[in-house]
Amino acid sequence: MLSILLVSTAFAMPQFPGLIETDLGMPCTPTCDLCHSTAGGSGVPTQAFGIAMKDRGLSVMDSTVTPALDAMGADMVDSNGDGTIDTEELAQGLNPNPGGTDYCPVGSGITGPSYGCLSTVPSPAAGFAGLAVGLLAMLRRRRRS
Amino acid sequence: MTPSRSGAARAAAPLLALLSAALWSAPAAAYPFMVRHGYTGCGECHTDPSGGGVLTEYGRGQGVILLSSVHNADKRGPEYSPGKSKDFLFGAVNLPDALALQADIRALIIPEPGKFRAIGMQNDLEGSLDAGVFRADASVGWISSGPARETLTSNAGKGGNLVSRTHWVGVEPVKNLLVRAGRMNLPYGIRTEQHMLLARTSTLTDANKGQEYGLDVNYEVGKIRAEAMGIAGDLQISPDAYRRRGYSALLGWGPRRNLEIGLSSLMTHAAMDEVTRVATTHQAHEVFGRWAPAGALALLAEAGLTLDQTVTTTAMGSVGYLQADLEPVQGFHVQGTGEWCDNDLSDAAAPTYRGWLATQWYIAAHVDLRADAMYGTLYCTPGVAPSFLGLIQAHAYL
Repeated sequence: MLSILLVSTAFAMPQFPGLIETDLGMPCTPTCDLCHSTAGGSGVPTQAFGIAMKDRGLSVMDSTVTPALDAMGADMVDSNGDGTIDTEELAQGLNPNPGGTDYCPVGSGITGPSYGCLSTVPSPAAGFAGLAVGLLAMLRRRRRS
Repeated sequence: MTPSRSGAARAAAPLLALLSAALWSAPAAAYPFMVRHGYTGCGECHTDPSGGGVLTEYGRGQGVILLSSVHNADKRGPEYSPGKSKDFLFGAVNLPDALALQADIRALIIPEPGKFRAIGMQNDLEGSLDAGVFRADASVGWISSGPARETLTSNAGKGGNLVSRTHWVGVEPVKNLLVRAGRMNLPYGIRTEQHMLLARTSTLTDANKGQEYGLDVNYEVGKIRAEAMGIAGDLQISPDAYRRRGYSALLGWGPRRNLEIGLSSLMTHAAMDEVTRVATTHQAHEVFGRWAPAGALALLAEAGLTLDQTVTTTAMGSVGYLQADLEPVQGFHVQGTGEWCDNDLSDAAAPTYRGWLATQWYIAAHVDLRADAMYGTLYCTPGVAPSFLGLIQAHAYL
Protein backbone atom coordinates (compact mmCIF):
# COMPACT_ATOMS: atom_id res chain seq x y z
CA MET A 1 0.00 0.00 0.00
CA LEU A 2 1.36 3.35 -0.98
CA SER A 3 -0.19 6.32 0.75
CA ILE A 4 0.34 9.99 0.16
CA LEU A 5 -1.39 12.52 2.35
CA LEU A 6 -2.96 15.34 0.46
CA VAL A 7 -4.54 17.59 3.05
CA SER A 8 -5.17 17.35 6.73
CA THR A 9 -5.75 19.57 9.71
CA ALA A 10 -4.94 19.21 13.36
CA PHE A 11 -6.51 16.62 15.62
CA ALA A 12 -5.58 14.82 18.80
CA MET A 13 -2.07 13.39 18.83
CA PRO A 14 -2.45 9.80 19.99
CA GLN A 15 1.31 9.24 20.00
CA PHE A 16 2.06 12.02 22.50
CA PRO A 17 1.20 10.08 25.69
CA GLY A 18 3.67 7.35 24.71
CA LEU A 19 6.36 9.91 23.96
CA ILE A 20 5.85 11.59 27.34
CA GLU A 21 5.96 8.21 29.07
CA THR A 22 9.25 7.32 27.39
CA ASP A 23 10.79 10.75 27.82
CA LEU A 24 10.09 11.01 31.53
CA GLY A 25 10.42 7.31 32.38
CA MET A 26 6.86 7.06 33.61
CA PRO A 27 5.68 3.72 35.00
CA CYS A 28 2.75 3.79 32.56
CA THR A 29 1.31 5.76 29.68
CA PRO A 30 -0.76 8.77 30.76
CA THR A 31 -4.25 9.09 29.37
CA CYS A 32 -5.35 11.90 27.08
CA ASP A 33 -6.77 13.90 29.99
CA LEU A 34 -3.23 14.93 30.84
CA CYS A 35 -3.80 17.64 28.23
CA HIS A 36 -7.43 17.30 27.15
CA SER A 37 -10.71 17.47 29.02
CA THR A 38 -11.45 13.73 28.88
CA ALA A 39 -9.47 10.48 29.04
CA GLY A 40 -10.16 9.81 25.39
CA GLY A 41 -10.15 13.47 24.51
CA SER A 42 -9.06 15.46 21.55
CA GLY A 43 -9.04 19.03 20.30
CA VAL A 44 -7.30 22.00 21.87
CA PRO A 45 -5.55 21.28 25.22
CA THR A 46 -7.71 22.41 28.13
CA GLN A 47 -5.80 21.07 31.13
CA ALA A 48 -3.20 23.22 32.90
CA PHE A 49 -0.37 20.86 31.94
CA GLY A 50 -1.40 20.81 28.28
CA ILE A 51 -1.74 24.58 28.14
CA ALA A 52 1.67 25.02 29.75
CA MET A 53 3.20 22.59 27.23
CA LYS A 54 1.62 24.45 24.37
CA ASP A 55 2.97 27.72 25.75
CA ARG A 56 6.43 26.13 25.63
CA GLY A 57 6.33 25.20 21.98
CA LEU A 58 4.34 21.98 21.82
CA SER A 59 2.78 21.62 18.38
CA VAL A 60 1.55 18.72 16.25
CA MET A 61 5.18 17.70 15.66
CA ASP A 62 6.61 14.79 17.65
CA SER A 63 9.89 16.65 17.83
CA THR A 64 8.34 19.41 19.97
CA VAL A 65 7.47 17.08 22.86
CA THR A 66 10.94 16.72 24.39
CA PRO A 67 11.89 20.43 24.15
CA ALA A 68 8.54 21.39 25.71
CA LEU A 69 9.08 18.92 28.57
CA ASP A 70 12.63 20.23 29.03
CA ALA A 71 11.25 23.76 29.21
CA MET A 72 8.62 22.65 31.72
CA GLY A 73 11.38 21.26 33.92
CA ALA A 74 13.62 24.29 33.50
CA ASP A 75 10.75 26.63 34.35
CA MET A 76 9.81 24.39 37.30
CA VAL A 77 6.15 24.45 36.27
CA ASP A 78 3.91 23.18 39.07
CA SER A 79 0.40 23.16 37.63
CA ASN A 80 -1.39 21.99 40.76
CA GLY A 81 0.79 23.96 43.18
CA ASP A 82 1.54 21.00 45.41
CA GLY A 83 5.24 21.76 45.61
CA THR A 84 6.34 19.05 43.16
CA ILE A 85 7.01 20.15 39.61
CA ASP A 86 4.95 18.60 36.81
CA THR A 87 7.72 16.58 35.17
CA GLU A 88 8.69 15.04 38.50
CA GLU A 89 5.07 14.18 39.29
CA LEU A 90 4.69 12.45 35.93
CA ALA A 91 7.92 10.50 36.49
CA GLN A 92 6.29 9.19 39.66
CA GLY A 93 3.10 8.27 37.82
CA LEU A 94 1.14 11.14 39.35
CA ASN A 95 -1.21 13.60 37.67
CA PRO A 96 0.22 17.15 37.69
CA ASN A 97 -3.13 18.80 36.95
CA PRO A 98 -5.26 20.35 39.70
CA GLY A 99 -7.65 17.71 40.99
CA GLY A 100 -6.45 15.15 38.49
CA THR A 101 -6.57 11.42 39.20
CA ASP A 102 -3.11 9.89 39.45
CA TYR A 103 -2.14 7.53 36.68
CA CYS A 104 0.08 4.86 38.20
CA PRO A 105 1.82 5.99 41.39
CA VAL A 106 5.18 4.28 41.91
CA GLY A 107 4.69 1.36 44.28
CA SER A 108 0.93 1.16 43.67
CA GLY A 109 1.26 -1.85 41.40
CA ILE A 110 -0.76 -0.09 38.72
CA THR A 111 0.84 -0.34 35.30
CA GLY A 112 -0.31 0.81 31.92
CA PRO A 113 -1.02 -1.56 29.06
CA SER A 114 2.04 -2.99 27.38
CA TYR A 115 1.95 -4.66 24.01
CA GLY A 116 3.71 -7.61 22.48
CA CYS A 117 4.16 -11.04 23.96
CA LEU A 118 7.74 -11.47 22.74
CA SER A 119 10.89 -9.59 23.64
CA THR A 120 12.09 -6.68 21.60
CA VAL A 121 13.77 -7.29 18.27
CA PRO A 122 16.88 -5.39 17.15
CA SER A 123 15.63 -5.04 13.59
CA PRO A 124 13.22 -6.62 11.16
CA ALA A 125 16.13 -7.76 8.99
CA ALA A 126 16.49 -11.11 10.72
CA GLY A 127 12.85 -12.00 10.31
CA PHE A 128 12.69 -11.08 6.67
CA ALA A 129 16.02 -12.74 5.94
CA GLY A 130 14.45 -15.92 7.25
CA LEU A 131 11.44 -15.40 5.06
CA ALA A 132 13.61 -14.85 1.98
CA VAL A 133 15.63 -17.99 2.70
CA GLY A 134 12.42 -19.98 3.03
CA LEU A 135 11.05 -18.75 -0.26
CA LEU A 136 14.33 -19.41 -2.04
CA ALA A 137 14.38 -22.92 -0.64
CA MET A 138 10.87 -23.52 -1.96
CA LEU A 139 11.86 -22.18 -5.37
CA ARG A 140 14.95 -24.40 -5.44
CA ARG A 141 12.88 -27.44 -4.53
CA ARG A 142 10.44 -26.67 -7.32
CA ARG A 143 13.24 -26.39 -9.89
CA ARG A 144 14.73 -29.69 -8.78
CA SER A 145 11.37 -31.40 -9.14
CA MET B 1 -0.58 32.92 5.18
CA THR B 2 2.49 34.42 6.82
CA PRO B 3 5.90 33.02 5.93
CA SER B 4 6.28 31.46 9.37
CA ARG B 5 2.89 29.80 9.20
CA SER B 6 3.63 28.56 5.72
CA GLY B 7 6.87 27.07 6.96
CA ALA B 8 5.13 25.46 9.87
CA ALA B 9 2.56 23.96 7.56
CA ARG B 10 5.28 22.53 5.35
CA ALA B 11 7.09 21.18 8.38
CA ALA B 12 3.93 19.64 9.75
CA ALA B 13 2.98 17.91 6.51
CA PRO B 14 5.34 14.92 6.91
CA LEU B 15 4.19 14.29 10.46
CA LEU B 16 0.57 14.51 9.52
CA ALA B 17 1.22 12.19 6.61
CA LEU B 18 2.88 9.67 8.89
CA LEU B 19 0.19 9.93 11.52
CA SER B 20 -2.54 9.67 8.96
CA ALA B 21 -1.00 6.66 7.33
CA ALA B 22 -0.55 4.97 10.66
CA LEU B 23 -4.18 5.55 11.45
CA TRP B 24 -5.28 4.44 8.03
CA SER B 25 -3.17 1.37 7.53
CA ALA B 26 -5.48 -1.32 6.26
CA PRO B 27 -4.39 -4.83 7.11
CA ALA B 28 -6.76 -6.89 5.07
CA ALA B 29 -8.61 -6.58 1.83
CA ALA B 30 -12.26 -7.45 2.21
CA TYR B 31 -14.66 -6.21 -0.43
CA PRO B 32 -18.27 -6.37 0.73
CA PHE B 33 -19.43 -4.80 -2.54
CA MET B 34 -18.90 -8.25 -4.07
CA VAL B 35 -22.57 -8.82 -3.28
CA ARG B 36 -22.94 -7.27 -6.72
CA HIS B 37 -21.61 -10.53 -8.14
CA GLY B 38 -23.85 -12.70 -6.00
CA TYR B 39 -21.48 -13.24 -3.09
CA THR B 40 -23.50 -12.84 0.07
CA GLY B 41 -20.91 -14.82 2.01
CA CYS B 42 -17.14 -14.46 2.22
CA GLY B 43 -15.80 -17.97 2.61
CA GLU B 44 -15.78 -18.72 -1.11
CA CYS B 45 -12.93 -16.29 -1.66
CA HIS B 46 -11.25 -16.04 1.75
CA THR B 47 -9.85 -18.68 4.08
CA ASP B 48 -11.44 -16.72 6.92
CA PRO B 49 -15.14 -17.51 6.56
CA SER B 50 -16.07 -13.93 7.45
CA GLY B 51 -13.69 -12.41 4.95
CA GLY B 52 -10.37 -10.62 4.73
CA GLY B 53 -6.88 -12.05 4.76
CA VAL B 54 -5.69 -14.95 2.66
CA LEU B 55 -7.51 -15.61 -0.59
CA THR B 56 -8.49 -19.10 -1.60
CA GLU B 57 -7.46 -20.27 -5.07
CA TYR B 58 -11.00 -19.50 -6.20
CA GLY B 59 -10.80 -16.08 -4.60
CA ARG B 60 -7.52 -15.37 -6.35
CA GLY B 61 -9.18 -16.24 -9.64
CA GLN B 62 -12.14 -13.96 -8.99
CA GLY B 63 -9.73 -11.24 -7.91
CA VAL B 64 -8.35 -11.26 -11.43
CA ILE B 65 -11.52 -11.96 -13.40
CA LEU B 66 -14.06 -9.82 -11.55
CA LEU B 67 -12.03 -7.11 -9.85
CA SER B 68 -9.41 -5.88 -12.26
CA SER B 69 -9.86 -3.63 -15.26
CA VAL B 70 -7.43 -5.60 -17.35
CA HIS B 71 -9.25 -8.92 -17.21
CA ASN B 72 -12.81 -8.49 -18.40
CA ALA B 73 -14.74 -11.69 -17.91
CA ASP B 74 -17.57 -10.59 -20.20
CA LYS B 75 -15.24 -10.08 -23.15
CA ARG B 76 -13.13 -13.15 -22.52
CA GLY B 77 -16.07 -15.51 -22.13
CA PRO B 78 -17.08 -17.98 -19.45
CA GLU B 79 -14.29 -20.44 -20.26
CA TYR B 80 -11.55 -17.92 -19.55
CA SER B 81 -9.08 -18.87 -16.85
CA PRO B 82 -6.53 -16.42 -15.45
CA GLY B 83 -3.96 -19.21 -15.19
CA LYS B 84 -0.87 -18.54 -13.14
CA SER B 85 -1.40 -14.78 -13.17
CA LYS B 86 -3.68 -15.24 -10.20
CA ASP B 87 -1.27 -17.33 -8.14
CA PHE B 88 1.13 -16.58 -5.31
CA LEU B 89 4.17 -14.84 -6.79
CA PHE B 90 2.42 -15.21 -10.17
CA GLY B 91 3.03 -18.94 -10.04
CA ALA B 92 6.81 -18.71 -9.62
CA VAL B 93 6.52 -21.06 -6.65
CA ASN B 94 4.40 -24.18 -6.80
CA LEU B 95 2.53 -24.51 -3.54
CA PRO B 96 0.95 -27.70 -2.26
CA ASP B 97 -2.80 -27.72 -2.76
CA ALA B 98 -3.33 -27.56 0.99
CA LEU B 99 -1.26 -24.40 1.41
CA ALA B 100 -2.18 -20.84 0.48
CA LEU B 101 0.29 -18.00 0.88
CA GLN B 102 -0.21 -14.30 0.37
CA ALA B 103 2.19 -11.41 0.73
CA ASP B 104 1.04 -7.85 1.26
CA ILE B 105 3.54 -5.07 0.71
CA ARG B 106 2.74 -1.58 1.87
CA ALA B 107 4.85 1.55 1.86
CA LEU B 108 4.31 5.16 2.74
CA ILE B 109 5.69 7.91 0.60
CA ILE B 110 5.95 11.25 2.35
CA PRO B 111 6.30 14.29 0.12
CA GLU B 112 9.10 16.53 1.39
CA PRO B 113 10.63 19.57 -0.21
CA GLY B 114 12.47 18.32 -3.28
CA LYS B 115 12.08 14.62 -2.53
CA PHE B 116 9.83 11.79 -1.43
CA ARG B 117 10.55 9.78 1.68
CA ALA B 118 9.48 6.13 1.79
CA ILE B 119 8.47 4.42 5.01
CA GLY B 120 7.49 0.78 5.30
CA MET B 121 3.92 0.54 6.55
CA GLN B 122 3.08 -3.08 6.10
CA ASN B 123 5.12 -6.06 5.01
CA ASP B 124 3.01 -9.08 5.78
CA LEU B 125 3.13 -12.71 4.84
CA GLU B 126 0.04 -14.74 5.61
CA GLY B 127 -0.38 -18.45 5.21
CA SER B 128 -3.33 -20.77 5.41
CA LEU B 129 -3.33 -24.56 5.65
CA ASP B 130 -6.33 -26.65 4.67
CA ALA B 131 -5.50 -30.29 5.41
CA GLY B 132 -8.65 -32.37 5.50
CA VAL B 133 -10.66 -31.43 8.54
CA PHE B 134 -7.79 -29.41 9.96
CA ARG B 135 -7.28 -25.76 9.18
CA ALA B 136 -4.70 -23.23 10.28
CA ASP B 137 -3.97 -19.62 9.43
CA ALA B 138 -1.30 -17.17 10.54
CA SER B 139 0.05 -13.80 9.52
CA VAL B 140 3.40 -12.26 10.34
CA GLY B 141 4.84 -8.96 9.30
CA TRP B 142 6.66 -5.87 10.37
CA ILE B 143 5.68 -2.26 10.93
CA SER B 144 7.94 0.70 11.51
CA SER B 145 5.93 2.14 14.38
CA GLY B 146 5.98 1.41 18.09
CA PRO B 147 4.20 -1.37 19.96
CA ALA B 148 0.43 -1.61 19.63
CA ARG B 149 -2.35 -4.15 19.94
CA GLU B 150 -1.31 -5.99 16.79
CA THR B 151 2.41 -6.25 17.57
CA LEU B 152 4.19 -9.35 18.80
CA THR B 153 7.17 -7.37 20.01
CA SER B 154 7.51 -4.27 22.13
CA ASN B 155 10.18 -2.07 20.62
CA ALA B 156 9.39 1.40 21.90
CA GLY B 157 12.26 3.07 20.08
CA LYS B 158 13.54 2.67 16.55
CA GLY B 159 13.53 -0.70 14.84
CA GLY B 160 9.82 -1.24 14.45
CA ASN B 161 7.91 -4.28 15.56
CA LEU B 162 6.85 -7.70 14.41
CA VAL B 163 3.12 -7.91 13.80
CA SER B 164 0.65 -10.74 13.81
CA ARG B 165 -3.00 -9.80 13.62
CA THR B 166 -4.38 -13.28 13.17
CA HIS B 167 -3.19 -16.80 13.96
CA TRP B 168 -5.59 -19.62 14.54
CA VAL B 169 -6.11 -23.35 14.21
CA GLY B 170 -9.43 -24.98 13.42
CA VAL B 171 -11.33 -28.08 12.55
CA GLU B 172 -14.16 -28.56 10.07
CA PRO B 173 -15.85 -31.73 11.36
CA VAL B 174 -18.70 -31.40 8.88
CA LYS B 175 -19.00 -29.35 5.74
CA ASN B 176 -19.56 -25.64 6.37
CA LEU B 177 -19.01 -25.91 10.11
CA LEU B 178 -15.68 -24.46 11.18
CA VAL B 179 -14.52 -24.30 14.78
CA ARG B 180 -11.45 -22.14 15.37
CA ALA B 181 -9.26 -21.12 18.28
CA GLY B 182 -6.68 -18.36 18.24
CA ARG B 183 -6.44 -14.67 17.41
CA MET B 184 -9.14 -13.65 14.96
CA ASN B 185 -11.21 -10.79 13.64
CA LEU B 186 -14.43 -10.37 15.55
CA PRO B 187 -17.60 -11.53 13.80
CA TYR B 188 -19.51 -8.27 13.79
CA GLY B 189 -21.08 -6.20 11.05
CA ILE B 190 -19.70 -5.85 7.55
CA ARG B 191 -16.01 -6.65 7.30
CA THR B 192 -14.30 -4.12 5.10
CA GLU B 193 -10.85 -2.74 4.44
CA GLN B 194 -12.26 0.66 5.51
CA HIS B 195 -11.37 -0.01 9.12
CA MET B 196 -11.67 3.66 10.02
CA LEU B 197 -15.43 3.59 9.52
CA LEU B 198 -16.99 4.97 12.71
CA ALA B 199 -19.10 1.82 12.87
CA ARG B 200 -15.85 -0.16 13.20
CA THR B 201 -13.83 2.04 15.55
CA SER B 202 -16.77 2.77 17.89
CA THR B 203 -17.60 -0.90 18.28
CA LEU B 204 -13.93 -1.97 18.57
CA THR B 205 -14.35 -4.33 15.62
CA ASP B 206 -12.01 -2.85 13.05
CA ALA B 207 -9.78 -5.17 11.04
CA ASN B 208 -6.64 -3.24 11.96
CA LYS B 209 -6.58 -3.49 15.74
CA GLY B 210 -9.81 -5.25 16.69
CA GLN B 211 -8.63 -8.86 16.77
CA GLU B 212 -8.99 -10.92 19.93
CA TYR B 213 -8.09 -14.40 21.11
CA GLY B 214 -10.99 -16.76 21.53
CA LEU B 215 -13.02 -19.69 20.32
CA ASP B 216 -15.07 -19.15 17.19
CA VAL B 217 -17.78 -21.24 15.55
CA ASN B 218 -18.89 -20.50 12.00
CA TYR B 219 -21.73 -22.26 10.24
CA GLU B 220 -23.19 -21.64 6.83
CA VAL B 221 -26.22 -23.45 5.52
CA GLY B 222 -28.35 -22.40 2.59
CA LYS B 223 -29.15 -18.72 2.86
CA ILE B 224 -27.92 -18.44 6.43
CA ARG B 225 -24.46 -17.73 7.77
CA ALA B 226 -23.87 -17.57 11.48
CA GLU B 227 -20.75 -16.98 13.51
CA ALA B 228 -20.18 -16.62 17.24
CA MET B 229 -16.95 -16.05 19.10
CA GLY B 230 -16.22 -16.34 22.79
CA ILE B 231 -13.59 -13.69 23.48
CA ALA B 232 -10.85 -14.78 25.88
CA GLY B 233 -8.93 -11.51 25.75
CA ASP B 234 -5.97 -10.30 23.73
CA LEU B 235 -2.84 -12.05 24.97
CA GLN B 236 -0.73 -9.46 23.14
CA ILE B 237 -1.77 -6.92 25.79
CA SER B 238 -0.68 -7.06 29.39
CA PRO B 239 -1.38 -6.95 32.25
CA ASP B 240 -4.48 -9.08 32.21
CA ALA B 241 -6.69 -6.26 33.52
CA TYR B 242 -6.66 -4.66 30.07
CA ARG B 243 -7.96 -7.75 28.28
CA ARG B 244 -11.55 -7.62 27.12
CA ARG B 245 -13.64 -10.75 27.54
CA GLY B 246 -17.11 -11.54 26.30
CA TYR B 247 -18.70 -12.52 23.01
CA SER B 248 -19.24 -11.30 19.49
CA ALA B 249 -21.68 -12.80 17.01
CA LEU B 250 -23.44 -12.22 13.75
CA LEU B 251 -26.30 -13.79 11.85
CA GLY B 252 -26.70 -13.12 8.14
CA TRP B 253 -29.53 -14.06 5.82
CA GLY B 254 -29.24 -13.86 2.05
CA PRO B 255 -32.75 -14.31 0.65
CA ARG B 256 -31.50 -13.41 -2.83
CA ARG B 257 -28.12 -13.51 -4.53
CA ASN B 258 -27.94 -9.72 -4.45
CA LEU B 259 -29.08 -9.17 -0.89
CA GLU B 260 -27.92 -9.99 2.61
CA ILE B 261 -29.33 -8.62 5.83
CA GLY B 262 -28.20 -9.48 9.29
CA LEU B 263 -27.81 -8.82 12.98
CA SER B 264 -24.67 -8.40 15.05
CA SER B 265 -24.18 -8.35 18.78
CA LEU B 266 -21.13 -7.82 20.97
CA MET B 267 -20.48 -7.52 24.69
CA THR B 268 -17.12 -7.34 26.42
CA HIS B 269 -15.79 -6.40 29.82
CA ALA B 270 -12.34 -5.27 30.84
CA ALA B 271 -11.22 -4.62 34.40
CA MET B 272 -9.33 -1.65 33.01
CA ASP B 273 -10.11 0.10 29.74
CA GLU B 274 -7.04 0.87 27.64
CA VAL B 275 -7.97 4.54 27.31
CA THR B 276 -9.95 5.48 30.39
CA ARG B 277 -8.24 3.09 32.87
CA VAL B 278 -11.50 2.18 34.58
CA ALA B 279 -13.50 -1.04 34.50
CA THR B 280 -15.76 -0.87 31.47
CA THR B 281 -18.45 -3.04 29.95
CA HIS B 282 -18.86 -2.36 26.26
CA GLN B 283 -21.88 -3.43 24.21
CA ALA B 284 -22.82 -2.97 20.58
CA HIS B 285 -25.83 -4.30 18.72
CA GLU B 286 -26.80 -3.55 15.16
CA VAL B 287 -28.47 -4.45 11.91
CA PHE B 288 -26.55 -4.54 8.65
CA GLY B 289 -27.36 -5.04 5.02
CA ARG B 290 -25.75 -5.41 1.61
CA TRP B 291 -27.82 -4.99 -1.52
CA ALA B 292 -27.04 -4.76 -5.22
CA PRO B 293 -30.18 -3.17 -6.74
CA ALA B 294 -28.57 -2.82 -10.15
CA GLY B 295 -25.59 -4.38 -11.86
CA ALA B 296 -23.19 -1.53 -11.25
CA LEU B 297 -24.41 -0.43 -7.85
CA ALA B 298 -23.98 -1.94 -4.38
CA LEU B 299 -25.44 -0.44 -1.21
CA LEU B 300 -24.04 -1.22 2.23
CA ALA B 301 -25.49 -0.08 5.53
CA GLU B 302 -25.06 -0.62 9.25
CA ALA B 303 -27.00 0.97 12.10
CA GLY B 304 -26.80 0.18 15.76
CA LEU B 305 -26.55 1.15 19.38
CA THR B 306 -23.56 1.14 21.70
CA LEU B 307 -23.56 1.02 25.47
CA ASP B 308 -20.52 1.76 27.63
CA GLN B 309 -20.88 1.26 31.36
CA THR B 310 -18.51 1.94 34.22
CA VAL B 311 -19.17 1.90 37.94
CA THR B 312 -20.21 5.54 37.81
CA THR B 313 -21.33 6.17 34.23
CA THR B 314 -23.63 4.75 31.58
CA ALA B 315 -23.52 6.07 28.04
CA MET B 316 -25.77 4.83 25.27
CA GLY B 317 -24.78 5.87 21.77
CA SER B 318 -25.60 5.18 18.17
CA VAL B 319 -23.49 4.65 15.09
CA GLY B 320 -24.04 3.78 11.47
CA TYR B 321 -23.48 4.54 7.82
CA LEU B 322 -24.90 4.21 4.36
CA GLN B 323 -22.48 3.53 1.55
CA ALA B 324 -23.04 3.41 -2.19
CA ASP B 325 -20.43 1.73 -4.37
CA LEU B 326 -20.78 2.35 -8.10
CA GLU B 327 -18.67 0.46 -10.65
CA PRO B 328 -19.37 2.19 -13.98
CA VAL B 329 -16.73 0.12 -15.77
CA GLN B 330 -15.15 -3.06 -14.50
CA GLY B 331 -12.43 -2.35 -11.99
CA PHE B 332 -13.22 1.33 -11.40
CA HIS B 333 -15.29 2.18 -8.35
CA VAL B 334 -16.79 5.42 -7.05
CA GLN B 335 -17.83 5.18 -3.45
CA GLY B 336 -19.78 7.61 -1.31
CA THR B 337 -20.37 7.10 2.43
CA GLY B 338 -22.40 9.07 4.94
CA GLU B 339 -21.68 8.26 8.59
CA TRP B 340 -22.94 9.30 11.97
CA CYS B 341 -21.92 8.55 15.51
CA ASP B 342 -22.95 9.71 18.97
CA ASN B 343 -21.25 8.04 21.93
CA ASP B 344 -23.69 9.50 24.47
CA LEU B 345 -27.22 10.23 23.32
CA SER B 346 -28.07 11.91 26.63
CA ASP B 347 -25.49 14.67 26.51
CA ALA B 348 -25.77 17.99 24.73
CA ALA B 349 -22.99 17.43 22.20
CA ALA B 350 -24.16 17.13 18.62
CA PRO B 351 -23.48 13.78 16.93
CA THR B 352 -20.46 13.34 14.73
CA TYR B 353 -21.36 13.37 11.03
CA ARG B 354 -18.84 12.44 8.38
CA GLY B 355 -18.83 12.38 4.60
CA TRP B 356 -16.43 10.10 2.77
CA LEU B 357 -15.87 10.02 -0.99
CA ALA B 358 -13.52 7.52 -2.58
CA THR B 359 -12.48 6.16 -5.94
CA GLN B 360 -10.79 2.81 -6.29
CA TRP B 361 -9.24 1.45 -9.43
CA TYR B 362 -8.20 -2.18 -9.67
CA ILE B 363 -5.66 -1.29 -12.24
CA ALA B 364 -4.25 -4.77 -12.80
CA ALA B 365 -4.20 -8.20 -11.27
CA HIS B 366 -3.04 -7.89 -7.65
CA VAL B 367 -2.84 -4.08 -7.72
CA ASP B 368 -5.31 -1.33 -6.97
CA LEU B 369 -5.18 2.42 -6.51
CA ARG B 370 -7.46 4.38 -4.24
CA ALA B 371 -8.14 8.03 -3.45
CA ASP B 372 -10.12 9.08 -0.38
CA ALA B 373 -11.51 12.43 0.66
CA MET B 374 -13.17 12.75 4.04
CA TYR B 375 -14.77 15.62 5.90
CA GLY B 376 -15.37 15.02 9.59
CA THR B 377 -13.38 13.70 12.53
CA LEU B 378 -11.26 10.58 12.55
CA TYR B 379 -13.04 9.07 15.55
CA CYS B 380 -16.44 9.37 17.21
CA THR B 381 -15.78 12.63 19.02
CA PRO B 382 -19.00 14.68 19.16
CA GLY B 383 -18.30 18.36 19.65
CA VAL B 384 -14.90 18.29 17.96
CA ALA B 385 -14.72 20.47 14.85
CA PRO B 386 -14.64 18.53 11.57
CA SER B 387 -11.65 18.72 9.28
CA PHE B 388 -10.71 17.57 5.80
CA LEU B 389 -8.51 14.58 5.15
CA GLY B 390 -7.36 13.22 1.85
CA LEU B 391 -5.34 10.17 0.88
CA ILE B 392 -4.08 8.49 -2.24
CA GLN B 393 -3.40 4.80 -1.81
CA ALA B 394 -2.11 1.91 -3.83
CA HIS B 395 -2.30 -1.72 -2.79
CA ALA B 396 -0.51 -4.76 -4.08
CA TYR B 397 -0.55 -8.38 -3.03
CA LEU B 398 1.38 -11.37 -4.29
